[in-house]
This record gives sequence, C-alpha cells and structure tokens, in this order.
Amino acid sequence: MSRLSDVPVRVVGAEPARAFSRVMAIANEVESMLARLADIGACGSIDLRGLPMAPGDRDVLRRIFAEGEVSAVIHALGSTQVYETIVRGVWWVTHHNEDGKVAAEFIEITHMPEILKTPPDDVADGLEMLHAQLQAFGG
Amino acid sequence: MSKDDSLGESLRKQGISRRAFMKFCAATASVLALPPGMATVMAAALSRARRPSVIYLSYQECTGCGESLTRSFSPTLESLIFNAMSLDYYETLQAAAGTAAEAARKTAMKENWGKYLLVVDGAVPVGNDGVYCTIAGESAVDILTEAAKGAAAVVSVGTCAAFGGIPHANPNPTGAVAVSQIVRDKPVVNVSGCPPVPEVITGVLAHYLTFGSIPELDHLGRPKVFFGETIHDRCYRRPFYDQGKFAKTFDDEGARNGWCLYELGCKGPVTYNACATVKWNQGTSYPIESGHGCLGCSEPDFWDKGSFYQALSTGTWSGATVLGVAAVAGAAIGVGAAVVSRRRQAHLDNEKQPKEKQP
Repeated sequence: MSRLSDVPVRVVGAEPARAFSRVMAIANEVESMLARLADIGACGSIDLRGLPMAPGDRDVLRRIFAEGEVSAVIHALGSTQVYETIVRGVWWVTHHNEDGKVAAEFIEITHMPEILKTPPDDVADGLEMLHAQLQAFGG
Repeated sequence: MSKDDSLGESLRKQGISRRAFMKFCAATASVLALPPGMATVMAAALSRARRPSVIYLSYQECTGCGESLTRSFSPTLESLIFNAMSLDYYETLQAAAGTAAEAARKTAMKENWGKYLLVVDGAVPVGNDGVYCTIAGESAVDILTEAAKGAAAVVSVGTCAAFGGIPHANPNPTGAVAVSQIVRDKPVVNVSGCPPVPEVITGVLAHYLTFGSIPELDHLGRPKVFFGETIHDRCYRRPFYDQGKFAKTFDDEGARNGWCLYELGCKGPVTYNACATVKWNQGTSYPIESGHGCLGCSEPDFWDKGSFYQALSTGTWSGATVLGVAAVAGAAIGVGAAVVSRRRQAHLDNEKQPKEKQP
C-alpha cells in the first residue's frame, strides 16, 4: 500500500429506509395541520429542535419542503430565514444567532409566520419616527 | 439601565427590537418544549417582568457550569436573559473583591429580601463545621443558609450542587452535600449535568420570569420539561438498539455505521437529560452523536458507579446484577431501567434523611 488512495475507506451514508420513516412521520403531521388550516383556519407549528433527528434526516425533509416562491430574511440578533415551501401554506423558519448557528427551527403551517408581521407597538413607534423624519425634512 | 425597568424596557435600551425579542421568545419556548404558539404569550409576559436580582454563589466546583452558561454561548439569544437580569453577586465575574464584594451581596439581599433568585453551583462541604470552604471568614454552609432565607427561589446549577457530584464522590473527605440537603424549607430546582446544558439553565430562569413560578419538577427536583425523558428515549440511535445492532468497539463496523453504543457503556437508558434534543455547542451535536456513550453525568453519584465503559447489563450502575440479558432483549431494558430507577430513588430517599455531620 504505497499511496493514500490505496487505504480502504468505506463511506457509510444514511440508511434510506429508516431516514424515510422518521421524515415521513413529520411530513404526515404537516399534512394533518395543513388540512386543519384549510378547513378551519387553525395554524400549527412543528419545533424541529425538539425531535430526534439523525444526520441526513433534515436534508430529506428539506427536499420534501423545498423553497417555494416567497422568502425573506430578518436581521435581528442574527439572521432569520423564512421561506414558504413549495407546499403553499407551509413555511420553514430558521432562527440563527449572531454567530450564525441555528438557535431554533420551525415548520409553520400558517398564512403568514408571526415573526414577519409588524408588532403593534412597532407600528406606533413607526408613526412617531415618521413624524420625526418629516420634521427633519421640513414637512 | 435602571433596576426598576421592566425586562422589555431594559432590552429596548440595549437596542433589542421587539421582533428580536419575539425571536428570543420563540427559541426559549422551543427549549422549554412549550407549544410554539406560546412564544407570543411569553414575549408579553417577559416584556412586563421586572428585572430580578440574582445572587450566584459558587462552592466546591470547577467553574465548568459557569463556563457552560456564560462563555460558550456568548453572544447569543440566551445571553439576553442574563443581560436583562441584575446579577448582583457572582465571584467569577464580578469586579469587586474582598469586603466590597461581600458588602454588595449583603446589600442586594437586604434590598431584595424575599424576591431575589439564588443560584448555586458546587457542592457544600459540611465536614468539620464547614471549614473546607470559607469565604470572608464565613463557611459556605452558613452563607448558603443565610442567603436561602431571603430567596424567592433556589436553583442548584450542576450535578455538584444538585447531588453532591464529584466532591461528594467516595471517600468524600470534606463531607460534601447537595444544596437541597442544606436548604430544606423551600423548593430547590436541580439543574443537573456536568456541566448542565446552557439552555436548560436559562430556560429555568425564563420560565420563572414568564410564569412567576418554578417549572414542574421530577422526583429528584429536576425540571420535567428537560429531564422528563431519558437520553435513550430521544436518541437518534435508538432504532439500532431496537434492532439489536450494537457497536462492540469504538472502531468496528458497527461504530462506523452509527449503531447503538449500549455495549460500550452508554448510560443513556438510565440518564435523564436534554442533550439528545437540545444538544451542545448551539445545537451541533451531543456525546453519542460524536461517537461516545453517555456518562450519565446528570444522575446522582454517577462518578461512583463503576467504569464509564462497562455496559449497564453488568449491573455496576445500580450495584445490582439484574440486567444481564438486557443487551440482547430490547424489552428487558425497560424493566431493568425501572428497577434501577426505583433503587436509585430509594437510595436518594435514604440520602435525604438528616445525617450527622461527617468528619
């Protein structure tokens, strides 16, 4: 054995059948929640950090709920990525901290994730700021 | 930042937007295993909460718990909760020293009597009248007893404070005991682990601030929300256990395939902690995911229960030999774990009986 490439190394991937069963359980839960949203307007959410996931499971889940036509980034204490998946009404929300690590991750079944809405107190603050801006510009 | 500020006001003064605060609450609600919808409720409650005074006492410990809490996660969402608290005494971090430091502790206690949070890490030596740990001429046991009287809640951080930990290990020359054996007239929240998961510590504090009460505790005084299930219950390698697929050595094919580490001494089946879901280093991994079995560090007397590399089936964890066939019978381990659990409970109950001071 004279070269590094001669060393026998076998790369073991995730076992598809098992990964599939874990991911399918989550996907089925999303399906139930989406049906409730469609029927009675009830929102739902799945906390991905609370679930036992093997390396690779998340990738499979991301393929099922791939990015759709809406996405947004929130810059507050690190970034938060929000996108509606190709399954409309199903949103993937990932909160990162300031080091770029994932702090929380959810699949939200809703018309619009709460984090994207402007909080009511911020609307009042916004009005105040606009008045100040208009004064500054001589309005 | 005024002490009279609400938590929301103090965060806003630090430039934290409401949306950022919502994000913090979503992450905290996730850690507390609250329904995701509770993040909004938590944001409203935390926003109105007064900044609590926190007195943090350290005794027989290695500062690993403090490192876990204050260093590895800074700056993060979790650090917010600490920025929002009035940390009035913490020897590891405070600038004050000597009589000035002790005066700060006594002032904080007097001004916030009955309302402050008392956080303790490290075991408390009671041997020889507590002479093995003294601060400013007072023994640890005397300081703790006095400080606990005026506390709204007591949180024992780390296995040493919760169960005595390594200082309590055989032969325990200093007579080290858990905080709960000194403070008996109010509930003590045990956040065990060596060290504890940082989010578990901040989660308990956030729960107290949000709901004004301590979370529901298990029979060992640990918050059920974090310690309600075993590492084994939530382990991603559990399917391999159920199929009887075990790594036999740390470098065999089973280990490379990510099979169950039970036979290599993993204590996951009898260890209650949140590592498997909350994970470490900001959700990167936990020991089993890195290829090493769980040591059981959040359980009482984990240090004295034999080799970390002997399977539970050898019986060293409980001092019993009832688990001999558990490795090959998945169902048997459930029964075995229950036996271990009951024995451990009985052992702890015995330990909790008042003891004479040890020499």
